Amino acid sequence: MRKPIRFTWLTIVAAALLCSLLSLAPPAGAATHLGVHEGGTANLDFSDDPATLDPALAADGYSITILHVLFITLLTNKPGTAQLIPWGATAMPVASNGGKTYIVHLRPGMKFTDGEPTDAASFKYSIERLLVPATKSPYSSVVTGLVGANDFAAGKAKTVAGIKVLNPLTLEFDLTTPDNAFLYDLTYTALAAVPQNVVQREGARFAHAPVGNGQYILQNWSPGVQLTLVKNPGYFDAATAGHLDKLLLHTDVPSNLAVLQVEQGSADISAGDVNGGDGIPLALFLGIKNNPRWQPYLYHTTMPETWFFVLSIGDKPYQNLKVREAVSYAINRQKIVQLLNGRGILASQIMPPGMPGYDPSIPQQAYNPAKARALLAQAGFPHGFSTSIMMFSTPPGPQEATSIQYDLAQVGIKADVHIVSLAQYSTTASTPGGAPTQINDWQTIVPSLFLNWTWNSNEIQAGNNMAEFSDHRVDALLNQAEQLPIAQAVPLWKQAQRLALSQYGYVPLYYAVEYDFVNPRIGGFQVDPNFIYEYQQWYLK
Amino acid sequence: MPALADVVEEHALPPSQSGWHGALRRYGRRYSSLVGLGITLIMFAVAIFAPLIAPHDPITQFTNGISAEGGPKPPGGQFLLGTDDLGRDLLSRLIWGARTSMEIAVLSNIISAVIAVGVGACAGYLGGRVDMLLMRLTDMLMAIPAMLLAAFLAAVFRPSIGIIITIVGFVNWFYLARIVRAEVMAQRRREFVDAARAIGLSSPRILIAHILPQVWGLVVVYSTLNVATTVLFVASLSYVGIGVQQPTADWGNMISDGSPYLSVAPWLVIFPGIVLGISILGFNLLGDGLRDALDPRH
Amino acid sequence: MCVALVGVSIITFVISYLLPGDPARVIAGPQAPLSVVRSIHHQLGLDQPVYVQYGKFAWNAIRGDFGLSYRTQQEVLPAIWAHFPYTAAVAGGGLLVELLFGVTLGIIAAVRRGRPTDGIAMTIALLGLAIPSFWLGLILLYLFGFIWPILPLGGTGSWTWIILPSITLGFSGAAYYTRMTRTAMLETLGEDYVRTARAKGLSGRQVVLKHAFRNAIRTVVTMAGMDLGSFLGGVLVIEEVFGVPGIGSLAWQAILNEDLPMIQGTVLFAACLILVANLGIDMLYGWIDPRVRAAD
Repeated sequence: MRKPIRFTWLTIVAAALLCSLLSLAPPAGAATHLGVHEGGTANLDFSDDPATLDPALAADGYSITILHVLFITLLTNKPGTAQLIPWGATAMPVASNGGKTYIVHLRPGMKFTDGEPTDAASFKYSIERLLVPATKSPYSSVVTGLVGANDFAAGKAKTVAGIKVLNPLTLEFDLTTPDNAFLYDLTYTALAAVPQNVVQREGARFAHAPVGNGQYILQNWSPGVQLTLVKNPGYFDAATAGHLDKLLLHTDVPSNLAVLQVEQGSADISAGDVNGGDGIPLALFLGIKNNPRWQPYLYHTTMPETWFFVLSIGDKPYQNLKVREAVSYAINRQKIVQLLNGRGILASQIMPPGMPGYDPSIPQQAYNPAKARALLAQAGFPHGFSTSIMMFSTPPGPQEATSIQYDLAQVGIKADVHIVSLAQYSTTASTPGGAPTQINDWQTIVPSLFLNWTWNSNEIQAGNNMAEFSDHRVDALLNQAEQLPIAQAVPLWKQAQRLALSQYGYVPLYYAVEYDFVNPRIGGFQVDPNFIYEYQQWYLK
Repeated sequence: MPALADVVEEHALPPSQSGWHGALRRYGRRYSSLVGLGITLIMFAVAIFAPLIAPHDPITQFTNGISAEGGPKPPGGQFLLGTDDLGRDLLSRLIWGARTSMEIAVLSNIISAVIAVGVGACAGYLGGRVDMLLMRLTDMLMAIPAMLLAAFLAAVFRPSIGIIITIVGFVNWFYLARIVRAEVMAQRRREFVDAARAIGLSSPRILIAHILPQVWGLVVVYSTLNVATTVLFVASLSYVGIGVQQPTADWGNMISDGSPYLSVAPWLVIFPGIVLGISILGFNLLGDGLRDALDPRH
Repeated sequence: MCVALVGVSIITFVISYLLPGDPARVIAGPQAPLSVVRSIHHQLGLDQPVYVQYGKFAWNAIRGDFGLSYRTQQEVLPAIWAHFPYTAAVAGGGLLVELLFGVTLGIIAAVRRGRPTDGIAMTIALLGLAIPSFWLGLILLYLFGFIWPILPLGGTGSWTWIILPSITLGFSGAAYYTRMTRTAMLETLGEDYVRTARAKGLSGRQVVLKHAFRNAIRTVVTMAGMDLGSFLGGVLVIEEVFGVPGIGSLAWQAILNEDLPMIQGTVLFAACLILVANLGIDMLYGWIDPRVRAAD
């Protein structure tokens, strides 16, 4: 039967109109502002599981980055910078009482996903928890500066006097001495609030099934397979909320495979092991960097991260200053950076550029093997000596170690390279005299830590001052500086650093430049100097 | 385990019937055995003369060995087979790697042989409780996967070359011990032993002077075959990181160092693998030939 | 077998005890203060004498409690069982390839004995022996994961992940089966009763499959059993190359991390499988060949 042409024509026009109308209507997952789509899922490839998701225990960057979106801290850093801003607090706390007291007002509305409110008492409980020996927290030493902390830890007091709950939304912190690192401490995930009821009920299981109050919730964790993070509908602040609905963290994906998956589009980022192993393996880096196709995928930032070579001052040949100086001249830093495909900047000092206390007037140590040999001869080692270099097995650790081994061999120092796992490192490094030399790094946004961890003798026992450097003049300067506001501390820091560097216990190597390989469909990505990844910033374009 | 021992016994070699002359003739007849012998001799020659043959020093990190951006260089020019990620010449490292491999393989097998003969002979000759105890011990050690056992020991003692030789020697004697035991047991039952006893010869003397010489051929054959396994085993250990350490060149750790570069510099993995394969093949053919030569049944 | 297991556990325990390094320090982390390390030390019972520690361990082990892994603070035995299926899959796949490839080559070599095919077959088998499995794995990954990307590059996504590890494992071990099959079949093929059967008019194929092969089965089964036992313990290099989350890498990580409970658990697990496999073969062997049973 013939259809009237008019009717057919009308249908077509109507359909076309309908289609164009529909295309004008906002799609599901509408952009709330310029180009940002709410919702969506991201796939992240990691090379193994995080160590723990209990804020009190997590000491590695990988776990901390995840905890950063699970738990709210009083303060945090402005994403992409080292600048402090309030988060759980209403404003940046101002020091009073000679710098020993901080009053912090909490923002209302924070609550844990089980319904328990996050208030001043929650923060008090969580910080006290760090001091309880049964928690086994490596952060207990961070909060011993609070009044009454040591008594509480020793069991002599039922509570820490220096943390006062003035009212459910106001906390008072009292320190025994002023401390310019304290506000930075409040950014640590270890000092985030945890739900008391849940922690006491779950005990050790909390580390695998944490209950938090942050932008995301840990929905599921299958060790060796993946973690699933979903957006927290009960998060208290729309301005800092996450955009993605879901984050799938695939664990146990070796980085070369991860890179391929990002290239093929089945993963959004090759995250490696945020702790130190690179998301882009050393071997593949040049191929990616020089390929124009991957330009939109590459991001890089110079990190507040210094790599250095540690000489154990307590051990025989290194007791001699000239020997240490010789080692500093013997190492070819340029070669190391070249081996890293340029992902580093030669370091003249331990304090990285951009940090208060960085001293541009300190000259870069030259590479001079002839001078090194002369110094060794003067020190009584014309034929060199034997030693050993300890290093992690994560690339580019072994390459760096082998490169330094070769440099030392050129001046007569025969070094054997001892590549260790984390377990061996934990033991050897923290035993005074455990390793004659080693390669290590600091990465933090807290300026005083670069100097204190390295050179303050009170960090020897804690295992940070690995060289066992001890100079009472440096100690005096550093301890005094800690109690001053940062602006006033800087001249003392510079003085301390000059004094310390002249003794060559630590040989600065380079500042790290971090590269990341991210699918361009992910918006809002930037490398954060503190947490590396700020998942709540990410969205789908 | 009696059943397994019986299987082993069935394959134990009877004493050579026409002496060394016949054995050599039989050996030479097979083409593959000659190839094996050839490869083995070449490998040993390379190992011994490494300092003379290698174009460069194996641990020198040449500044022109890596590209300006820090990548390994492909084969050609000054570096015939290319360079690795630290700018070291691959060919020189392969040649010196032969020295490392041969050294470890031969020395560790001597250790294995000594332990195996000791354990096997005691168990086979003395029998009874001693036998049971020793075999149980062997079973228990055999039940632990060799790589893990080696990894364990390497964690306790740091892996220097000497330690590796000892560890590998210690992990590889089990099978040979059983074979020695089976052969010693077979020999012990023969009449001349009773006769020797009757005229008053002491046990140790019988064992050493009369029985062990018969076992000798077996030990040589299986140790040769074992060298092939050892080379592979050490390469595997180096591959996972507990074998030969930097900067010493070893084919296994060269493959391990090169594996991240597989897609950009495959020569780093291909060449060491080929050399490994050839040398293992050579030792296998040599061992096979020896076994066939000394056992007319085949 | 129980004695053997106890022996293995003692050996493992002793070596673990010798491991340098303090597990308490590992758990606490390098920056933890000494007081924390000491309290963990005490909590783990590491300050007690060796035999007491072993006794506690053995007592718990018998009841199936291998403790908590030092690294993950999760129970050891469930973690092992979670990783086991991957190892089992690779073991099964590898054994299948070994048998199919190796035995077939052996049959071909035996039947075409002396002719070029024999030499070729044996050479292929020998190549499997000589080529290091980890190298082969890497090359296969390069070819089939990268150049012609038809197979996954590791990890355990779709079911195809099992193909390359199985081929690698199987090819490396096939040589033994080839040789064994060829030898055993040649022995039988020369025997009188076979010639008689041929004379009677049975086809060549029937003769081969029925009689000659049966002789080979005995040794093939013995080896296959032993192989299965050791494969199930986790083949470390294969797991490392292909990123298979099996028991081999679990044990390896445990050793690297000095994670004592996990080391004990994995090594005992692997040893148990090997011993069970050997026991199984002995029994099977006795059943197949009554002569051995009588001699027992």
